[in-house]
Formats: sequence, structure tokens, C-alpha cells
Amino acid sequence: MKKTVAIVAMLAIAFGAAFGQKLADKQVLIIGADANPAGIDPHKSTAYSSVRITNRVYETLVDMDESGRLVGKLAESWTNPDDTTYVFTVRKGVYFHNGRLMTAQDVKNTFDRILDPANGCTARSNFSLVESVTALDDYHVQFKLKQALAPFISNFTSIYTAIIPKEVLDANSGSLANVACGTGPFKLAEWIPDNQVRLVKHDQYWMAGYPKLDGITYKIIPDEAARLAALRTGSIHYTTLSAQNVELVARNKNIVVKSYQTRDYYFLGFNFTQKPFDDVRVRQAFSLAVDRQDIIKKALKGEGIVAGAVSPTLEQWAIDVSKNPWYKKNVAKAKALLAEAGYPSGLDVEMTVPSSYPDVVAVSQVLQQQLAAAGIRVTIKQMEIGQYVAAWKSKGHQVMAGKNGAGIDPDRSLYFFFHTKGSANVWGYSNPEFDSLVEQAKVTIDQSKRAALYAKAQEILYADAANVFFASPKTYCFISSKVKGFEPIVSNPEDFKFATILK
Amino acid sequence: MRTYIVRRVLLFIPVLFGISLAVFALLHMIPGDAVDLMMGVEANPELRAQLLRQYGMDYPWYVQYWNWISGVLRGDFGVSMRTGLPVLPEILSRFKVTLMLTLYSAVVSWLIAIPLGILAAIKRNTWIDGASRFLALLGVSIPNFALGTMVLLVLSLVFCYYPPLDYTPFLASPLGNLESLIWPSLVLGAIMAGSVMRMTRSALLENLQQDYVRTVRAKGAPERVVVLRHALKNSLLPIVTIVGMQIGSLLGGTVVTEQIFSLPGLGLYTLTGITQRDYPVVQGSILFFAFIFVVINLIVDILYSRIDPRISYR
Repeated sequence: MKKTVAIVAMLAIAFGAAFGQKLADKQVLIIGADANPAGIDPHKSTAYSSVRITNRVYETLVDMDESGRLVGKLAESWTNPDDTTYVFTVRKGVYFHNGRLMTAQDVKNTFDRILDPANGCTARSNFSLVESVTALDDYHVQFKLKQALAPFISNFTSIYTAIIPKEVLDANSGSLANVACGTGPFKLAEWIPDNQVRLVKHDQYWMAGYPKLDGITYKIIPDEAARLAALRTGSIHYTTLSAQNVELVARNKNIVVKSYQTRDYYFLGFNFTQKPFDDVRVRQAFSLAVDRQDIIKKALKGEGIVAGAVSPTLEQWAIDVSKNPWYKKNVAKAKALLAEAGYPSGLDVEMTVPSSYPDVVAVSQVLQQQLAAAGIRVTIKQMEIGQYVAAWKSKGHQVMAGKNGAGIDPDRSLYFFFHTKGSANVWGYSNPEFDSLVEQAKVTIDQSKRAALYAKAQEILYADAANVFFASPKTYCFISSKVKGFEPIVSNPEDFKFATILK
Repeated sequence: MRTYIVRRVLLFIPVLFGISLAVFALLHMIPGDAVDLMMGVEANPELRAQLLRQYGMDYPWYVQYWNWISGVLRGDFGVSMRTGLPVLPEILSRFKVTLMLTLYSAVVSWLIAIPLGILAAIKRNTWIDGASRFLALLGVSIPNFALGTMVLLVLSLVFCYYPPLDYTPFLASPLGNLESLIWPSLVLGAIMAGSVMRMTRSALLENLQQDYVRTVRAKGAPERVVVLRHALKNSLLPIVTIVGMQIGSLLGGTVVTEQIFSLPGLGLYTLTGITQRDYPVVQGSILFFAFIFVVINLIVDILYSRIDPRISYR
């Protein structure tokens, strides 16, 4: 009997999905955005408010799929005949929003813009080893490198390398800050600052039959409570909110919460130019005094995973930190290390925290309690974001709590943040052994050899406690239950190509 | 009178010049600069140098100030470093929103405050007076973000209603404009009403004890005439002062309400500018606020002499 009921119920659901649910007349998705985009130049605007728009309007040569594999997007495929040459086969039948067909020459023109130092494009430093870019014919473009570079292809997944049409750039005297013309599924129709950004369907999109939606409208609603209210009343279909709101909508049938594991991590960064943080024992004491599961439980509402510098979602690169000795809480050993370093009665430190990130503030408060048990007395100093950035640039802090993006390649997670010459190494961390490992890995094309080098480098990084790494949070998407065909993934969380809206 | 106005307008010049210098200096003294914030972790010296050059930030501060202020004098407030949009048209279009919000709020506050204030004064020491004073105290002490959020929550949870997401300009549709602004205006108006009501009550009470009121009553005028025609008219001076001050600060101080109700006003523009250290945006808006403030002060002073002919300016 029970079984029959179950089968009938399942059939009903299946038929309901196939016949019962009609599409709404108006296929325009309304998104509640927390901020006005800070410019919409795909190569220069780095704020999330901008990137969520440029990622709909523009596309890149290479994409990363759900499992972290690199796949073609505007490039159908690529080959590397030798370690320093890459040839991309450009997809045929791709139209820009102005109706022109994209060719290999557009790839070359795009990289002419990105690589010219006078333009100040964000991705330039990732391509400093490029010697030349040549369009071989209409659909083949060749990149010549000065030396082998293992993470080279992964750099092409960043929206900072989106392919643009040169004529639009020239018509706007070299600025794309408030005009847009890409190859993406949606094109820019209107941008009213601090009110809305309206995108409409690109009819000539290369993926036949997509996008399903007629458009996406971003309404700028800065206040979190207001966004939740707007979602409840059906004024918007989609928004992102912090973890605290998940409970508030748990019993609301009209709202679905979907989450995905980000590649961000919370960290505690030391200022190596200040005593006693140049002493490895002091830093290790911090690492051992911390209970990372407890941070996840208290500050992240139990969601999130213990993480190191390399995102655990990149399984081929990240080592299992749960087995790392420096990740196991051991207050007695922490105290002993502090005593050995000359602080038997503990230590007073000032922790700089960015006030506009409530999640980082929450993590720092849990840290404060945990560290107190090991005799590390923390004063939390909240700073406005501008002040915070200035503090880490001028090394005006003792320790700072923060959140960083680990990126999709360990070269970014490790070299960029921790090599002596890494451009984001604001700590002053320097270990020749680590440096040599990540330098070797950078030019090692063989994946398994490269992974072995990075594994060693990670062990060193955690033993040195260059930073103390804690956990990687999730991002929560709050969606109207009328929206179907949408699943957020970390490499492209707001891809609404396949989405539709039900009545 | 005319010479007085001319003199006051001429005084604007040193005041605004001083403010422009102060804003420029403060903005460049606070830690964190626009380029650092723009680059974030992607920072490198080469990119930084390039961006500094692009925004003219590689010159000494006095050259930067000169470049900015000479543009302002020609009516060119520069372009936003973040959005690349020119600052002055943005300020003016957002000012319209803030101005309408302020006007609606002022009307709401008068509709609440003046009748309540009068009622409280003539029914002094009755329960009506007590209730009005309690409401006024509530208005003065409740923060506008709390009241704003509460209004939104009640609207959405109880009435399943959310104010329109599109801002409708007054000229496009006065009714639509009212719908866009009614809820934030009620919030701000209710809060403003507190102090206006208290001022009305105390000014009126003071006047009602004056000799001339006794004279008016003695000649047999009805109570309505006594209060509205005579006493209230003479109480207007402090009320106008406080309303003028409130409008002045509202024009620059509706930030929180604009944020909660997602209104594309000047406050939100300035606040975003400050967090991103978008120098042309912040400098331009603060200068604009200062200008509005001195103009309103002037208007209030002129109104004084209209209300009370004994006040004359030479």
C-alpha cells in the first residue's frame, strides 16, 4: 500500500513537471543586487558587483566545469606543440552583440589591449611571459611564451581576459567602463546607476536555443533586510544573502536556498616585520590554539569546510589538511611554544579586521575566545575597508583577519600570495625552500610532478604558519521557487543561460 | 534687503572655497586610496603607477586640487573613477530624488507635528498633551534605520507588499512618484515630526501667556482666531528655524533611508563614493551639499523678515 502511494506520488510529480507547470509570460529574471556595479569594463572592473554583470555579457576562451576541469568556451580546443607555444582554435559562428562575427583577430586585438602596460588591465601580470600573440588565420591564434608556464591555460578562464570587439573600444576612446559589447548570452540594454542594470537576450548567441530567458534585470537594493523582503513578496526572483537568513526562510515554500562551496578562505595574517611574529614558534602557537571546526560551527553556522591556502575543491592540488599536525588543536603545546619563544605569561596582540565583512568579524570574535585559552590576549580593531587595505599595504598591523580567494590554480594560491616576490605577499613571508618549490612547479607541465611539488610546498607553508588558515565558507543563493533550470557552481555561480521562470 | 542678499551670496565664495579645500584635504589624508582599493589583491607596482597616472594622482596635491577646482569653476566636476560617468549630471539627477524625498517628508512632518503641537499646547496638562509629548519623544529617539526596516518588514510580511523597485520621477507620473516615496517619507516625516511638534508646543505656550493674547481674548475674538491667527503666527519663527535646519540636514542626511528603500538618491551616491574613495564623486557631492546648506540658510534668514517685519537686514 505504502509503495503504491509512493509510486502514484512520484508519477504525479513527474507529470506535474512535464505538463502541469507552464512558463510565465514574462521571462525576465529580476535579481536583487547589493551594490551598483563599480564600472563594467571586463578587463578592469574587479568588484563582485561588476563581475556578476561582465560574466553575463562577455565570454572567455576557456571555461572551468563543475569538476574543476578546463574546457573550451570561445576556444573550441587548444594544442601546445611545445612547452612555450599554444595554439587556440577559435569557435566558429560566434557573434558579438553588434552583429559582427568573432575571429582569431579579435583574440589578438583583445590581448593587445590587455598586454599594453599603458591600459592598466588587471590580468596583465598573469601574461608577463607572453612574447607574441599572432592570428594564424581566421580561426587560429598562437601564443608564444618566453618560457614554460604551467598555469598558463587556467589564466584564460578569468573574465579579465574576455574577448572584446576592437571597434567598440575605439568608438569609446578606449574605455569600456560604461558601455558593453561582448559575445555572452545577454547584452547590456540599460544601466541607471544606483537603480538598475537591464540585460536582454542575445538572439545570435552561439549556443543554439539559449539563453531561455528574455532578459535579466538587476535591481540595486543595498539593504539585506530589504532584499529578503523583496524576495518574499515576489518583487525579485534571486538574491544572495548571508548565512543567518537561511533559517528565516526555512519554512517559506516560495523560496529555495541553494549554496555552493566557494574557493575563499578565512585567514590570520602576520606582519613578519614586527616582533614577535617573525618567530615561527609564536606563529605555530596561533595555529595550534585554534579549533577550526568550532569556527565553522559558531561563525559559519556549521556550513563550510576546513581549508588551507589551496581550495579543497581543487582535489588534484590541495593536500588533506585534516591530517596536517598543525591543524590539530593543542593548547598545551601552543603554550609551551610561546614560553619557549620568551612569552611564558602570554602575549597581547591587536587584530585588524575589516568592519564591512560581517563574516570575517564573526570569525575574529571566535578566534579571540579560542586564542585567549592559550594566553594570547587579542584586541579586535575593526577598520573601514579603505583603512584596512592601507594598513596591510603599509604593514601597519600586527595580525589581521581576512578573507582571500584561493583562485583556480595553485600558482595563484601559493606563488602569488606567499613567494618572496609574490605580488600579493604583503606579509613579508620568505622561505627559500618554499620559493624554489613553487618556482619549479610554475614551469613543470607534467601534472603529477607538479602536484607533488605543490604538496611539499603546502606542508612547508602550514609548518611555517605563514598565515593561519581556517575554513572555506559557502555562498547562499536565495531563489524564488518559480525559477527552474538553475544550479549555482563555483566557477560561474550566476549562469542563468538554462534558467526559465514558471507561472 | 537686496544689498543684504548680494552680500550674503558673495559670502558663499569664501565659505565654499574653504569647504572645497577641507574636503580635498580630509579625503586625501584618511588612510586608503582609491587605486589601492580598486586593485585589491591584484596590486602590483606597475599597475598602480599606471592607474595613478590615469587618474592624475601622480601630481603633488596642490596640482591635483587645482586641476579639480578649476574644472569645478568651469562646471566640470570630473568623472567617477569607478563608473567613468561624469559627476555633475549624476549629482543633479540624484538630487531630484533626495529633494522630492525631503519635500514629502517635510509635508508629512508638518501634517503630524503642527496640529499635534497646537493641540498639546491648548490642552496643556491633559492626557492629549501627554500622549502627544510621548509620541514626540518616540519620534526624536527612534533611529530611522530601525523604523525603516520595521515598515518594510510589516509591509512585506503582513501585507505581502513591496514598494516599487523602479523610481518614478515626479514629472513622469506624480502618482507613481508618490508611490515610490511614500513609505520612506512617512518614516522620515514621523521622525522629523518629533522635534517640530515639541517646538510648536513650547513656542505656542509661551505666546499664549503674552499680554497681547489677553488683549485679543478681551476684545471677544473666538479661541480659534486667538490661537491660529495670533499666537501661532507669532510662534512661527523658532518653528521655521528648526524646519530649515532639518531640511538642510535631510538633503544630505537621508543616506540610511535611501539605502533601506533602495532609492537612487544623493546620499547613497556619496556613501558609495566614500567607501570606494572615489575622489571626484565625494568632493563633488560634499561641495554640492555645502552649497545647498548655505542657500537654505539664506532662505530661512529671508523668511524671518517676512514672518516678523521687525527683523530687517541692512
